[in-house]
Amino acid sequence: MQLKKIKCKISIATCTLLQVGASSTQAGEWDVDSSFLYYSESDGRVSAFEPAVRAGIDLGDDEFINFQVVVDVLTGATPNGAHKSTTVQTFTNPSGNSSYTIQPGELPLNTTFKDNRLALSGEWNKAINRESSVLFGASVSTEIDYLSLGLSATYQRDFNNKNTTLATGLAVTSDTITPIGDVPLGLNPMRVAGSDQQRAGSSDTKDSLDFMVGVTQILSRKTLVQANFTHGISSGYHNDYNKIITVIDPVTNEPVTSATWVMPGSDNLPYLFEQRPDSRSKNILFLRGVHHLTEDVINLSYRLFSDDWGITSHTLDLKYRYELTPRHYLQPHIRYYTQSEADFYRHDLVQGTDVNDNGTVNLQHVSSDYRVGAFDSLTYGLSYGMAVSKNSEFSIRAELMQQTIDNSGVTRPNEDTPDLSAVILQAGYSFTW
Amino acid sequence: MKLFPLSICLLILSGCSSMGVEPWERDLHAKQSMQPVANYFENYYDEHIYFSKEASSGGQGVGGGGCGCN
Repeated sequence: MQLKKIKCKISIATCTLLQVGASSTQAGEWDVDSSFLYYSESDGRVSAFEPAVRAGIDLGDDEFINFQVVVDVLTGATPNGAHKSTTVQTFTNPSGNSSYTIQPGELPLNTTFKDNRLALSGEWNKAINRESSVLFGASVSTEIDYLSLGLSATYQRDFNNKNTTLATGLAVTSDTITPIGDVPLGLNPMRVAGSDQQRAGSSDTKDSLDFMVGVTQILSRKTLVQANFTHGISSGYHNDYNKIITVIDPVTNEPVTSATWVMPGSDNLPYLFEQRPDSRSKNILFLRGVHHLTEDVINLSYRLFSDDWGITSHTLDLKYRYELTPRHYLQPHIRYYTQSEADFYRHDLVQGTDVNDNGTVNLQHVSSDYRVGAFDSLTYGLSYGMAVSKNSEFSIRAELMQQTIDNSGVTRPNEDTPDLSAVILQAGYSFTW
Repeated sequence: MKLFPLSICLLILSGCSSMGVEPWERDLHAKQSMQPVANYFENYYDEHIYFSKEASSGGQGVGGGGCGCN
């Protein structure tokens, strides 16, 4: 497999730090990587089609640039955060102009979910001298309701006869969220379709800064290890504007109905928009080891994540590359992930306790988005790669992701968040031009 | 606390000075399969999927931009 020469020298800082391969590319050669992803969740939930192309060129004199284009087409249904009910529930679409109904016993899903994303990025990598280099990156990602702009810089230096590489990087990201139907007011009720939606404004922003320091060490002819520490902070709008939370009637243990809803105003539905903190601070420790057996290669990584929202997660990822022949390989992959819930995660709000009779809410932050709740996730699958020629490679993979939601804290009927499974299919073709 | 990452680096650097290989022993490390990320887009897609489906993200590097993924 002779491919990806440039990628041994330059790699997008977001995903691959410190490629240690020593192969060289002839100046003027393009290294092109194309791929297609199909992602599909069970029960008619989100599906994604995501083609991507990345091209890099060796400019000579240890200088490299690359460009990347990714298109993302999303369709399907996504949970709106509310719970099942024994009665028909009516929700207002994000636009505020129309509504949808959910039948008794069904999980409320917003079936109008649809989005397209275009992401462009570029990187410039230049050696400063024999031991050190810099990598600058810029990215823009745009969706119907989201714009993200990013800049990054990474400096890396070799020590110990190039057996040790230290790297440090800084990235800033500026996001602008422009919800369809404007920004909902957190902890305020969803409003009847067609009525005054009482939104906060047309857009909001979030700014992020990440700092990373890492080391890669070649231990022996067959083994290398890597350790990164990342500290990230962000401030601004962290809500998912599509997410709401159900208010429960303590007498019936069911979602309150319009008849028993205490919030003043006839246009208020018994669901409140979520409200997350307006800042987040996170620390990440990432460890990786790569070991060459006689022919095969083991790639094992572990990530410890912790933030000031109260979330702690552990991620273990194992790939075993089994060389069938010098031109064909199979790669089983297994990934295990587990996270604890955020301090503000709630299954519901209770009328009379969390929501007063005059309509005021006694909580500062709340979300029932299962993604900030506690769950485990297991992904397993297989990749197959084939060297088509000396400078081209074809690969495919098929994986299954299964999220198992922790419903141990659920005390009322119909509040279980269902588990989720998803299929991940990918095909890629890489070549030198 | 701010000096913690720097101290760790210096400790690792000094401890690693006796490890490694000679230049002529890098044949295996030059192989694509021995790179920390051997398949770029496999890694890219995984980062994107799990970013949108889990509360944790990052760790492998910095940059790349965000998205409003649901």
